[in-house]
Amino acid sequence: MEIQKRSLITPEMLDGKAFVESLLEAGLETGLLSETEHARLQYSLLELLASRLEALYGKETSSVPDEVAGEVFESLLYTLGAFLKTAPDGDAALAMLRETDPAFLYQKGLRRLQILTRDVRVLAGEVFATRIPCKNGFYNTATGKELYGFLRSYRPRSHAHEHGQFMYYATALPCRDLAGVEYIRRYAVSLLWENRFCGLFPKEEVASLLDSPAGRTENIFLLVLKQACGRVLAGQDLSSLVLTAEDGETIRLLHGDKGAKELTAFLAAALRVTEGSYPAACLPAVGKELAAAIQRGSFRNVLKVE
Amino acid sequence: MSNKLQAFKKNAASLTRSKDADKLLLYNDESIKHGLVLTKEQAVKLLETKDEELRYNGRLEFGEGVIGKLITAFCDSPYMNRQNYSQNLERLVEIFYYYKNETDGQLSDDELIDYMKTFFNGSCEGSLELLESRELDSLARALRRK
Repeated sequence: MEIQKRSLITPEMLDGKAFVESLLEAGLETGLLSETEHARLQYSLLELLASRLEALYGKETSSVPDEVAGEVFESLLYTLGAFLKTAPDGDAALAMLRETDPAFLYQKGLRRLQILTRDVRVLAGEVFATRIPCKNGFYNTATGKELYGFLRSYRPRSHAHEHGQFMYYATALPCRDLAGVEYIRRYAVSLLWENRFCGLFPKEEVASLLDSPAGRTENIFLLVLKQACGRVLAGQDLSSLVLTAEDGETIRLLHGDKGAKELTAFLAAALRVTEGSYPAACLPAVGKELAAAIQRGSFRNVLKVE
Repeated sequence: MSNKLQAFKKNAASLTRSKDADKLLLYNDESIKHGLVLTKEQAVKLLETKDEELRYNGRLEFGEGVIGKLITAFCDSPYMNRQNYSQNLERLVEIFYYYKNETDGQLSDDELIDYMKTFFNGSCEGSLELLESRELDSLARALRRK
């Protein structure tokens, strides 16, 4: 029997936005770090901050306003965190932080941010190339200017933790546990997933579906996914997104007795979504909304029925 | 200050290990040529003043600090003597950090110290009150208008 080492620091103990701070606290909590070591590591990070401030401002001054120092410190911690997250688990990340020169970790962190920024550049191109023609202003800005805007304004050496742009268009699975370039990358990946899914269906039908108040303001992918689920529930194939009144009746007859969970499981099987995939993660909310609509006896504002 | 930085640094005003008083006393080698020396007690007091002023003005020091530069700049002033040397240095530290903020980072440390020295030895004729409330105040206003 193979014995696998379990990390004392579990993923739940770590904060994606404040990784280093949470790692230090988790180290204390699990006993992997003594109070003395904890203080030593904190001090080593302050020394790293001093050298970063020296590099950024040292030619002109020997002191900066607290707010400036605070921003640089957040940026520095974020950069370290970006690299430490590549460790296999929390224990390994803490070991790296304890045993490696912080300046070296910082350089590795900058390199990691460079790689992530390059990813965003590639993803921005793919998102733009797969855009869904529609009148949703938030979507059009997000898939056009905003990702490129981030690339122009991102400053990893002083503000690595910020992503500057506020993304008004919400993806189906909003990312709440990341910041900076990590957040933008996840956002771009989500947009690409959503674009590619919508791109599987006839363009004119998607356009017709989106030519509505909901289509101008809500998440486009979810509207299309719901419509596709409607087709599946009505026993229709996915070569089209059109639903007739008859289809609505069929849905009520076949699935009127199903609760949200059962409906979601049915849809997951029928759509053959892979567990852990983007559509799979979105299905529970869609299943819940469709189940409620079936119970209500009306698909108004949920599905487009001809 | 960001909560993260506050949590890490606690009460320290400087990120560098405090230039302890002994290191500050090394500047006596230069100032003694003008008959001016700091005692250890005075050096300690000067460092405490610096820390207080950094905290009061909401600044964080990361480099070598300015006390050495102020000593070098002012020890040859005709208006410095053995009686007022230590006290004047403390006031100069206060004035320096106050106007570092008031000039909004538009002047480097060296530039601000140059202005302070020029005004102190010139139009202020050794008056720190005039330096602070007239000359540097006018300079700061002029810079803000730019």
